[in-house]
Amino acid sequence: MSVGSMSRIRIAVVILAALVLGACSHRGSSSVAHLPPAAPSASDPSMEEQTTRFLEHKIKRDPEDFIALNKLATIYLQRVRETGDLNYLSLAARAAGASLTTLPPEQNIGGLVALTQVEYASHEFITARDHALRLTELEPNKSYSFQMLGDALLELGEYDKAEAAFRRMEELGGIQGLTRVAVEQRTARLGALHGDTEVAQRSLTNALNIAMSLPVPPRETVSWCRWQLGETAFGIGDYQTAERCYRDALVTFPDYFRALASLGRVRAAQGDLPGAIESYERATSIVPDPAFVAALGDLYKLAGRDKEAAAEYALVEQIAHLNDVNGSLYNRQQALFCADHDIKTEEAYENALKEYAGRRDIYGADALAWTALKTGRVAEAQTAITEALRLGTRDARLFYHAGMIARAAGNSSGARNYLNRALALNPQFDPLQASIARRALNSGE
Amino acid sequence: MKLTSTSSVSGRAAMNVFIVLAFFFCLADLSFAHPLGNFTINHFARIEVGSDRVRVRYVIDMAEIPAFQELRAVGADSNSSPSPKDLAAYGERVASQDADGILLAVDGVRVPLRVVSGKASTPPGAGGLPTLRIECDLEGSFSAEGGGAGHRLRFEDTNFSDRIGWRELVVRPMSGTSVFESSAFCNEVTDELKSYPDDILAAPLNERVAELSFISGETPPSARPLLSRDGRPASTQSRDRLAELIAVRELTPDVALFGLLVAVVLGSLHALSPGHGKTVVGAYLVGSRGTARHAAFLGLTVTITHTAGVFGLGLVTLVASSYVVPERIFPILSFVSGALVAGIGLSLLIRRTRAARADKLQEQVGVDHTHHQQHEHTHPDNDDSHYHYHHSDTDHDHHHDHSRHSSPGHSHGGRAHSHLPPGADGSRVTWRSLVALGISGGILPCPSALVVLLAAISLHRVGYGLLLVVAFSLGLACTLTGIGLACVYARRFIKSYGRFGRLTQILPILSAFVIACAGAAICYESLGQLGVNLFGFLRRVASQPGIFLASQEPAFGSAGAIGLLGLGFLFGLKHATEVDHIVAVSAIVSEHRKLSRAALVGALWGGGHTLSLVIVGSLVLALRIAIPQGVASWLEFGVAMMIIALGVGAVRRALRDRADFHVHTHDHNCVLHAHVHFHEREAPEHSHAIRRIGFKPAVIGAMHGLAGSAALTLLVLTQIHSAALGLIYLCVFGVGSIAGMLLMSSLIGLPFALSARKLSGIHHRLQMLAGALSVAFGIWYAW
Repeated sequence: MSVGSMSRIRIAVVILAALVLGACSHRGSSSVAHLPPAAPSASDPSMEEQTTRFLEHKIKRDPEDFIALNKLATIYLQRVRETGDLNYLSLAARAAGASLTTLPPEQNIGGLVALTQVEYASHEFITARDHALRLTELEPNKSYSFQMLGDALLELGEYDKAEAAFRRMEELGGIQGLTRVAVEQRTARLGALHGDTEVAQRSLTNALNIAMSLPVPPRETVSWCRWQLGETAFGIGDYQTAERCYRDALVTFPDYFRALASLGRVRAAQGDLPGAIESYERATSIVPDPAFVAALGDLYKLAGRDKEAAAEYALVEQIAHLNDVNGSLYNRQQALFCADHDIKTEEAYENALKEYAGRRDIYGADALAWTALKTGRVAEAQTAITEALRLGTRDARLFYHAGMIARAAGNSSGARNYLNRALALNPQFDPLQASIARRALNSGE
Repeated sequence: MKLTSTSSVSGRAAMNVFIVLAFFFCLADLSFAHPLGNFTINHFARIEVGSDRVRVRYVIDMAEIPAFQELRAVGADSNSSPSPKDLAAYGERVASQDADGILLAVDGVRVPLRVVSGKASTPPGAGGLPTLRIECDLEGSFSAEGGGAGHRLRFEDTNFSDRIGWRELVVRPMSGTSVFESSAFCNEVTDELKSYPDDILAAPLNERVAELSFISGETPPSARPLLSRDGRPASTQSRDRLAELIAVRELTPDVALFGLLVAVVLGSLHALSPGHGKTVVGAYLVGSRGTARHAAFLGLTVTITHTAGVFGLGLVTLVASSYVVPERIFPILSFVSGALVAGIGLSLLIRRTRAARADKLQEQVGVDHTHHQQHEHTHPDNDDSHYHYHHSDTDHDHHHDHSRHSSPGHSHGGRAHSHLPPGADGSRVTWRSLVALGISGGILPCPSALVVLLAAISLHRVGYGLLLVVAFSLGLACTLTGIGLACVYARRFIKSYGRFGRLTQILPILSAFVIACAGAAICYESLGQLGVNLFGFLRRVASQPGIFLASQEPAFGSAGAIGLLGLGFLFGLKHATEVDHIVAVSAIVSEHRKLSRAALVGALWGGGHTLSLVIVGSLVLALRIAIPQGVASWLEFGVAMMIIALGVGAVRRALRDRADFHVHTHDHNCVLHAHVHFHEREAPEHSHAIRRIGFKPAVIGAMHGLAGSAALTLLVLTQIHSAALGLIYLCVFGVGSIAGMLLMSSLIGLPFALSARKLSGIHHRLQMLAGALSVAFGIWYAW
């Protein structure tokens, strides 16, 4: 009975998606206005659970069943993406490790793929890149090798090489749905980094449409695309579209913590403080990501609930305290939080500097610039923010940081210019910082 | 050129080292203080069901971060840890909140839970941060009237439903109540969230809802009883009865005597549990013309060995427990026992087949004028006729043996003597092999005997403990001896059942074969426990690129693909040896008397299997869909039905054919000859093999391919990124399974072929056995 109803839903979804695809291609649309309607996920979580238990049982019987180990690692990694539960990351690491000790990477591409993904997810980008490079040697004709290489390079700030890898990935990419989704997602990411919102939106819409047209649309991929579309819209101040995208993502995947947190942010931007607090409270109860917790603290502060705000800020620090055990996952959020709230700025600067030594991406440069400014290292902040803006990324937060740095350096016209750009692009980019930017602009005049 | 290749090889090796290192760093980074990560809120509930009330033991374990969030509600300020008073008040408050979050209903009516006790504690966690542990005892009562078929209970934990973490539900019936048809299990995993499994690869438990039926009194016979997580019924998870004997409060002579008696009984029952070489003992004594004395001697050896084994292991555990882990010793002992048995079996097999061949050769020559003539004579003690074949070689071994053994039942006045065919070499019950057998049966100490000894030492009742162990070993020996005796007498009975005179000729060979197989099986099992994975080893060997000549094949662009295909072949080989496959094939093979036919059956099965796999695989590859679990389990049910049908068929055929053979005697040159004639229904010689065998094996193989292997293949197919490679993999897998099954069916066919040629009485028994086994297995499989 359930199989029957499920297949009916599947068929319905396929037809819907096909109709939507047809409509989109007919109009040649690239705008966010023509997104496919949101639908509850057709994938069945209990089946995923069953598969997991099946594989775990298989491994218990034959601990060297590397194929099951690889498969299991992939499933665990997917769970990390879906739930943010880091326990699954350590399980994935264990599965990948067991697989590779059974069989070396030459005969065990799947194991190497899993290990590389685990390293990427654990923010071990340098080893992830090296292993991805090894993958491209072992499987030079596979798009996924270059996808992983590009992803790692992007996080390390090696943008030219990353673009080359993604180009190669696109050349090799077949007609398989998921590969095409992956290609579109990377194109969107590059577009956003280069400040080309249109490219980003078009690619994300394509990715979403392809994902929706798969026999069973993967719920995390669909929700991720919608969430990213929301982020892009939010980045240019289109709060209504952003909110709609987030809510659509939550229709497919009700517990999607990324969309929940973003929904809180966009509700705050629209002035709905209680709604924003509610969304953030749910998001932090699913995964207490320090960025979410800090934002919730900010909102409490705005609402005059100082005691609760202080408690949230204290929680962020506690997470930092556990950061040594947690790995370096939250270093950057931590540094930005400290700089934003002027606490432990020296420590934050040290951390940002240390991280930037190995990972020279633009947001790392931004974190370094912002913490350097807060610790009075204006010259260093100037160099760093130039680095951060080198790709031409249109991000209100980067512009805001650049403006404040220029202001501290005494360049008032530069400061006005950057702050104006930030507020014009995304007037409510942050509940606390946006008003600081506004005050700085007014006091400067 | 050469230089570059070496450097790339060394680079590759360095890379491997690097990868392994990276993995360890990864692990080090991810080793959390809280075993499940410091964001988790973990739940445990034990539901104790009585006829009119339900008790719930409810524990929540919050890791550092949620504990920090929660503790803000406890103390006034978040910097200092809460005072015990605050914590106690919080514990009671939170217990009633948690009770509200538990939805408990009996027959659809909500049962409110009352807080019996609730307390909170703050065990230290990582980074000097406390964790939070809440322990509640809740109770709810209800009036459950009527309901002859029992009541339905539903439990749902809705507390912190968003939060990640471990969720464990356990069900326990109170005394006088039975729980059945339960979605939850009876055994705990984490000891109320105090110790999480850390060595295994397993996603956290996610049990939020339990539904179960309960009734006061016994579980209805047709219902599924409450199970443990490894699928065993809750009742067998009983206490260790032997270990209880030692723990009596006062040791009066009555109690001691009773204890010893119970130990004997427990020992004899223990011998019936698998792994004590019952088959081996029986097979040996039957094949070797053992006597009651041999059986008794065997029993003695077992007792001594087992007692010594327990003492020895107890000593090791006491003295060297910091160096040796007793769990490690068990498989080693098991391996030794298996090796002993296999050795005995093999040497017997070799000796007996050699002798049988010599015997056969002599029969073919047809000349028998050395010192005895074949003749039929009648024994004075019974009226059955025996066929005596006395061999012509100069070996008088068995005569000597008998004088040595002075086996009862044989008068050695010189008139009547060995009744065994010389080919059987059956007279050789050597003391050496008896001792070896006894050791193999007793060397594996029963864990509960060991517990008794250790408990006795800790209770300062060493003497009594030793006595208990001896009594237990005696019981063990009694059973083994009893089985041996039963076999000895059964053999005599068969032998005296005159028309099967030749049965004794094939029996020793068969029994030697059984012994060797049993020994090998024990060895294999113990190797598995030791962590030596034979298949894994093979796989590693096979994955070395050098083994496959075609490893530089450029078509797939990488050596990995070739390795994968090699594995496909191995997987196929292994796949053919899965139980349900073997059982089905053996039922068909039992119909055939020729080895070549048996092999053909296997090959046909493999062909059918491959065909269905390739078809399903192509669909999977083309459409990228997964086969739903539901469909797969229905297919497996179909396989079970098919196996039952095959078994029934084999039994029926055995019964029918049995009527068709007879013994007739006639004489050649004044020498009386006895032949057993077997009348075939069809003429076997002139038909085309495949037509005669039919496509039954192929159809059955196809069915198997559809059912069981769906999962295995899917695993690999999802791993393979190219469709062409996937199909090739499937084909290679298929070839592997054909080869494997060809081998297996030939092996299975061996006893059938052998017995068909030698004598059809045993052949029919074998056939019946195969049929019955297959029916039994089918029923179990379906269930």
